[in-house]
Amino acid sequence: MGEEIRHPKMASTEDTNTTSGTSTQLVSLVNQAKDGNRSAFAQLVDRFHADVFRMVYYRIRSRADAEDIAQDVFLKAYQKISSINDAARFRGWLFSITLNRIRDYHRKKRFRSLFKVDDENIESHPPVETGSDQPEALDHILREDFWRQIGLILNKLSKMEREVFLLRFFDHLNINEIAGTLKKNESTVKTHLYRALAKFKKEPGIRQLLKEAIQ
Amino acid sequence: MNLDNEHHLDEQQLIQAVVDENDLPGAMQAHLVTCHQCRTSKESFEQELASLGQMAERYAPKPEKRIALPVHEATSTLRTFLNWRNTIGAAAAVAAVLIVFWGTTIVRNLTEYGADSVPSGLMDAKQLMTEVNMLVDNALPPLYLEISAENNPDYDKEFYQFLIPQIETETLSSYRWKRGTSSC
Repeated sequence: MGEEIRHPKMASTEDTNTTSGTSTQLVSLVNQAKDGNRSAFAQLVDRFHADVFRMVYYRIRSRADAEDIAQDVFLKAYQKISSINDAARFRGWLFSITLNRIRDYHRKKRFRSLFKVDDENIESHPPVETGSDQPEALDHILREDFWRQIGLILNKLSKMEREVFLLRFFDHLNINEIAGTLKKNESTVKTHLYRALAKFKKEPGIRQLLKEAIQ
Repeated sequence: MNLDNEHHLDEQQLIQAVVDENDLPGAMQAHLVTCHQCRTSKESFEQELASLGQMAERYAPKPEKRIALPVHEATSTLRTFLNWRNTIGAAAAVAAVLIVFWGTTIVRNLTEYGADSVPSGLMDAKQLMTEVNMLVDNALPPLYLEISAENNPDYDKEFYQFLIPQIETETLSSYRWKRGTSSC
């Protein structure tokens, strides 16, 4: 696991440097999509599909449901794109829709759980024999361990702390974008992020895993 | 490089620096710039968090389904055409309903008033059959029926019995035999 790790600070700096061109292009695409250009919207879908899908998957841990929710998100965005006032805020706006869809999903899931005894939805990945010679066996074990550790950490965070933490380090949004997405002010976001990081720092399991990944 | 341990960032300040370095007090910000140890601690923590996001991305599945967008939004010309087409379609539908209603009314009228439109020969035959049936019931013409008092309700069965008494078939001797008496 000696892959190159992108530094968050570097990432944000890189973003500010490189996004001037891409953000202009993005704004142009959003404006064209607002005018009913379907092709422009299709390009926006291509650009953000993976991000939206992952964002959903991180929160519900079900591939099939994540696919369906991502589809819903883009349909909703297609219908409502004319309501965007600031095209530069498209990403935050799209992520807001995604979070709303995820909330709807959890609400429906809670309602269904009233009538169902077993409503465990977090899917495990296809079973791989641990003793087998398959090259993906080790990767499977690492993946399972990683998501288990993440689950343990996220369960210790409050709802808001968890959301801010995920948006910052999993979805790579900056503080300003998180504030826009959650419709909170920046100091509130920072407070929740601070508390989340303080709890994260006390988790030796995941930190050891990450240190090994860095090395 | 600042080697004074008393001024190193504590854990809370380190977390605060990761959240937003600009929120640290000015002295701490200045220390962070110069202190290699604090800078390394901060960057190490940031690196952990960055690798967290990257591992999550790596261990998340890739979307397989493509996003299906709704059918092409109609352009203004096409929309106008579609509107015209809708209008024509609606008019055709209304016309079809009227035709069906009108047709149904005609058929109903034909059924109800069909007798009016049957040929006169057929009507004569029907009238003739009615007269024949009346004659079968009573062959006397109405005038004779008046004379015969056939239609008078006062002339009931008792009246006729009075006019034409029933003939006694039993003899006196047979009557006495039935009663068990004799003439001797």
